[in-house]
This record gives sequence, C-alpha cells and structure tokens, in this order.
Amino acid sequence: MAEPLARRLARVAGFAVLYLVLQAGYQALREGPDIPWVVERGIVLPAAVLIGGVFPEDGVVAQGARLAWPGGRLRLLAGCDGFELLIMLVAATLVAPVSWRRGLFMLGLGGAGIWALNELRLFALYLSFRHWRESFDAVHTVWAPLLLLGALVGWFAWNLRRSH
Amino acid sequence: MNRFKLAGPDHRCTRRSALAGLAALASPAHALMAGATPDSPAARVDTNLPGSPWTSAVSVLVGGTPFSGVAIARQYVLTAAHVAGGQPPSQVQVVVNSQAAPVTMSVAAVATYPGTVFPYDDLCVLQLAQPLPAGVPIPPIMDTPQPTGTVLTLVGYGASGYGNVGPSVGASSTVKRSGRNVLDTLTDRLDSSGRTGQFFVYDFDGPSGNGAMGGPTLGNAVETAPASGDSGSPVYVDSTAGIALYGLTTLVLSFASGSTTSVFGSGGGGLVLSYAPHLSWLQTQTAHTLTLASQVVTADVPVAPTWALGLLAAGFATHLLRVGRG
Repeated sequence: MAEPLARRLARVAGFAVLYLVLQAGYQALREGPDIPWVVERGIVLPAAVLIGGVFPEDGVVAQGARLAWPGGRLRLLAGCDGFELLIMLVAATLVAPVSWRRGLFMLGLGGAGIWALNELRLFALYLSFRHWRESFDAVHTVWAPLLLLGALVGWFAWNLRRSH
Repeated sequence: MNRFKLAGPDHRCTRRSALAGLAALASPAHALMAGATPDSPAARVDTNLPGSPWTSAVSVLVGGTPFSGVAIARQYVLTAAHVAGGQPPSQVQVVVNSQAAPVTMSVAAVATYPGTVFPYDDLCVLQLAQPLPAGVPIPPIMDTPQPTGTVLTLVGYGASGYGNVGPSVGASSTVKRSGRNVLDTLTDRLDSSGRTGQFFVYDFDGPSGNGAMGGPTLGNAVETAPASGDSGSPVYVDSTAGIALYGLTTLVLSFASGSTTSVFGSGGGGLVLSYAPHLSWLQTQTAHTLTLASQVVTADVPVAPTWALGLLAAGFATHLLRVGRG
C-alpha cells in the first residue's frame, strides 16, 4: 500500500534533522580524547598493519593520526575518518521504514563496510602518494569519495528493496 | 669558571666548565625520573605496544647491562660512545620493545665517533646483524635548529625514582619510561678543554619550581630528567614531519658543587644531532640511509568533500522518498 507523500517527506525531514543532531554530537566529541583515540587505534593503526602486510619493506607505521614511513607522512585530518558517512547511514536507517532486525543488519554490516572501505581508501591514498603522486589529488577528492558514496547508497537502496 | 664532573661508564674525573653562569657537575646519563607523589616511576612507563610512538627507543645491552639507544635507520642504532664505544660487537645487543615480547638483536659492528672524549662527540652507531622488525618506526633526524623553549620528549631505559628523592628503581632492558622537559640552553662547550660540540641543556624544575635555568615547569607528572641508565637515549621533538629525533641524552647535571643529580633542581642534556660534523658522520656510518626531517614529504587526507556528502544525502533522501511509493 502506497504511503502518502507527506509521510515520505516527513521521513526525509527526519533524516535531515537526525543527521544534523548526530553531526553536532560528533563535532562535540571530536574535541575530546575519545574520537582521536578511535581514529588512531581503530583506523590509522589497522591501515598501517594492512600496508605493512602488503609492503613490509616500506616501513610504514602508525604515529598518532599519521601514517609514517621513512621519508613521508600521511596525516588524517578530523572528518576524513569515515564518521560522517557512518552518521549519515545511521540517520537514514533510523528513519527508514524497515524492521528493527533489518535496521540492525543495515547498520552493523554497513558500519563494518564503511570501516573496511575506508581502510582500502587509506591504502589507495598511501599507494598514490608514495608511488603515483600526480594521482593523489584525484584519488582523495574524486575516486575514493565516489566509491564510498556509491557503495553506501547502493547498500541502503538494496536493503530498502529487500525490506519491501 | 664553573666545574663539571665528567665521567665515563666506569670511571669519574673532574674538569672545569665553561658553561656560562652555571656551576654544574655533569656525568653520563642513565635513567628517567618521575615527579613527586602522586606521580611515580610506574606512571612513566611506556607500554610495549605497537601503537606506542616511542618504539624507536631501544635498549642497548653492553655485557648484559642495560643502557639506551634509538633506531636511526633500518639496520642502525645510535647510542652514546661512553655506552658502547670500543666494545666488541659480541658484547653488545639491542633489545627492541615494539610489542609485548621483546626482540633481542645481535650487533654486527660498533662504530665510535673518532676521537671522542666524554662529553664531546659522544656518539656510537651500532650496525645490526639483521634489519629491525617491521613496525619499528624510524624517526627522521631533526636537521633544523630548535629554539630554546622547545618541548623535548625524553624516552629511556634504566633506573627511575621520585624526583624529590632520587633513583630507587632498577634498570631493565624491557621497561622504557618517557617524560618531557624544556630546552633551556644551547651551548657549544661544557668545559675549558677547548673542544666544542653542540649541546642542549635543561633543568629539572620539579612540581612547581623554576629550576636553575628558569621555568616554568611542565608539571609534576610530565617533567623529567635523566639519571643512571639513560645514556644514549633519544630526545624527540614534534615537527611538521611528525616525531623527529632532535638529540641524544648523554649527561646529567647538577648546578651546584656537591649537589646530587637526577633530583629536582638538577638537570640534563646531550648532543644536538643537527650539528653538521655529527650529522655528516651519521650519514656516512649509516650508508646514507638516514632520513632528515626536512626531507620528509607530508600530505593531509582532508575531510570528505562537501559535494560527496551532499550527493550521499541526496541519494539517501531519494530512496527514502521512493520507498513506500506503491
């Protein structure tokens, strides 16, 4: 049965409001010690392990919010940690007309997917910065965001379709 | 004329000092001190985990006695000449603590700075038999001058204790401690021998004092000074290249004749590695594999582009509108 347009519009408005609230909370937390800790231990360190596993001779290590190797550093600025994407997925999922089981599935697997894709993004950024520096800008401003964006929207749409 | 007490690891002697305005006694450095209670030596321990930023600080065992050193290239460790200089490689080992289980490494060659006499040219490079384990960061050498007032991070192995009491905890090749101090003075000589180098010097202010060289203190739980066991330990600074190796701790100081070292009111110091003759020698000894901070290329991974977030939001909104449309 079709839902009235007003309800669907309200859902979109709810998504926008939730996103803004969650984003404000994230901004506040980012000033404290917790988010930097998560970024350093949960994002930068696994990326260093991933890169070190593939290229052990490169000597890549995690150094706070930086990936460091002899002769180079790649520093993660606040906001490039994938949290904003996760926040948007959470906001959209919370207002989506899906069962709570489906919602948990969307968030659980979606969150893990964002983390994994972000690690791959850092891997790609490291590769481009170290070996194909001319492509670094294109990777981090166009291709990586497009990949994450496409994957997230696709994941969301697929789940909505499965739910209905 | 001021007096320094200068000593090698196994002997002591006295020389006259030329460090202006200071009546100081200098001896080899051997441990990192804590503040007074509620700070403690245990609170200064840096856990041996891969995530620690200080895993380039290694322990150097000389005849089984722990001292300190720092990785400067994949197969080279820097320490003080008065720690390992002149030793046969078989007597020297390097203990790496980049994870919970320490890795003990053999040394293939010991290179001592030519003509070193403590505290001048107190450098020694250990060539390892194998490259350092993956995951051990190699800090770039800070090759630009640092002004007085720069915050220094000291990391070392060896004994420790309360700053108001003195060393009381034994050295260990698997326990490293960290603390900070402020670069108070740069000087090119420490006595009237006529020899020169480039030394950084600082005082140990204590919880609230201003020390012999002026304050303010970094605080009871932060400020530290070396004592027995820290000779050869790294002194780091934060730079645009990240953590960089600024100097090597080689000496402790007392600022009054007869006073003790490694307590509040005393001080410490060491060699500035950007000193051209030393840097050149280090490059040669490491087969030009040193990384200099000025050569480190850095980039920022910026925030997600606004257009991408906007498109993502539009994508979600579109699907939220479409679902339930019938």
